[in-house]
Amino acid sequence: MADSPIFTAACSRLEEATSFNTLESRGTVRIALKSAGLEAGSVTSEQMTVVLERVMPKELSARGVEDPEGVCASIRSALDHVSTSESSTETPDAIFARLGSRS
Amino acid sequence: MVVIASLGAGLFILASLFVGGRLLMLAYTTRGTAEFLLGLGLFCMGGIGYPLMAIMTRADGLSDTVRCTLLIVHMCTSTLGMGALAGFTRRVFRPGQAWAGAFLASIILGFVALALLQIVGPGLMAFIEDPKSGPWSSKVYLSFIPMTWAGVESIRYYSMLHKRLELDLADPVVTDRMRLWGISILAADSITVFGVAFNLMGLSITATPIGSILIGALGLVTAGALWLAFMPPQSYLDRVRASRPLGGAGSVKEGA
Repeated sequence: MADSPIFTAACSRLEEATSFNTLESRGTVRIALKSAGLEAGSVTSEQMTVVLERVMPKELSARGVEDPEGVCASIRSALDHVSTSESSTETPDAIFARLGSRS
Repeated sequence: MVVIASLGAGLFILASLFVGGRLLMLAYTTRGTAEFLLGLGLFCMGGIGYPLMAIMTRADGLSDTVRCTLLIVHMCTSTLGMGALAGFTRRVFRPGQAWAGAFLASIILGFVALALLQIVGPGLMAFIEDPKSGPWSSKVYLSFIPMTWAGVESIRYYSMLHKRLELDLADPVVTDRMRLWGISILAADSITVFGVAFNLMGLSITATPIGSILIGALGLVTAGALWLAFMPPQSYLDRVRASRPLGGAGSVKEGA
């Protein structure tokens, strides 16, 4: 599965805002997503925002990044400019939500 | 002991019929492929194919023609049911992935090949007289593949949703439904595994007390988890919701 534009944009901004190289920034974002139960290929803007608020600051602190909150805010603002097309495939949780509905 | 095994097996058949039927009706309303495939899979596999096998091999007073007809229907429903189950797993968890499509095709072709080999080889009556020999007897090994695939994918996704719950990125009811489906299909899979293990030891699972208890308990777990996952009573849903805060903006709500 190809990486989502949100994931790619977050990695690029992290690389710009820190001393991380491409591999390090992508790895850091992947680790944060994995600990949140998300995947690089399907993460949405809303989900990434929550990860940036509640998971990423700890990951950046652990890697010696100064002002992790500021870096996360910078990534969040970068995501505002990312255009995402609505995916045509339903997520497993969307399907399972429907399977129990009484309609 | 026979009563315990019959109770578990009976509840499994009932749950497969009711839940499968409900999902097929849901598919009629929503036109959704996933609910159609799962409904068809449960209805054909657990609701029709499984009891037909027992009737065909154990019922007294049936003519050879009737037994052969039942075996052909059993072959068709088993192939359709297992194919639909694998199709559901592919549609939900691996959409658009080429390897999953090839895997699904090979599962269906495997069932078709076993049925054809039985028909053109030793014949239908040979299987009816000795269900443990002949090509179609190998379907228990083949059944293990789509059921394990379904179980592993759903438990893997459940572990992801469980992590999302902590961040309010998942709905507790949907997360619980994923868990229950994983438990249900893996419990049904375990019946197959234990059956094969008993056969390898030269025993019949239904003829031993421990085997009967295993079938009874696992059948009960399968039926109960299926029921709670896809036809949950409101009180159960309320309890699941009360155990967790509702999902945040990024979660998919139950019934959405």
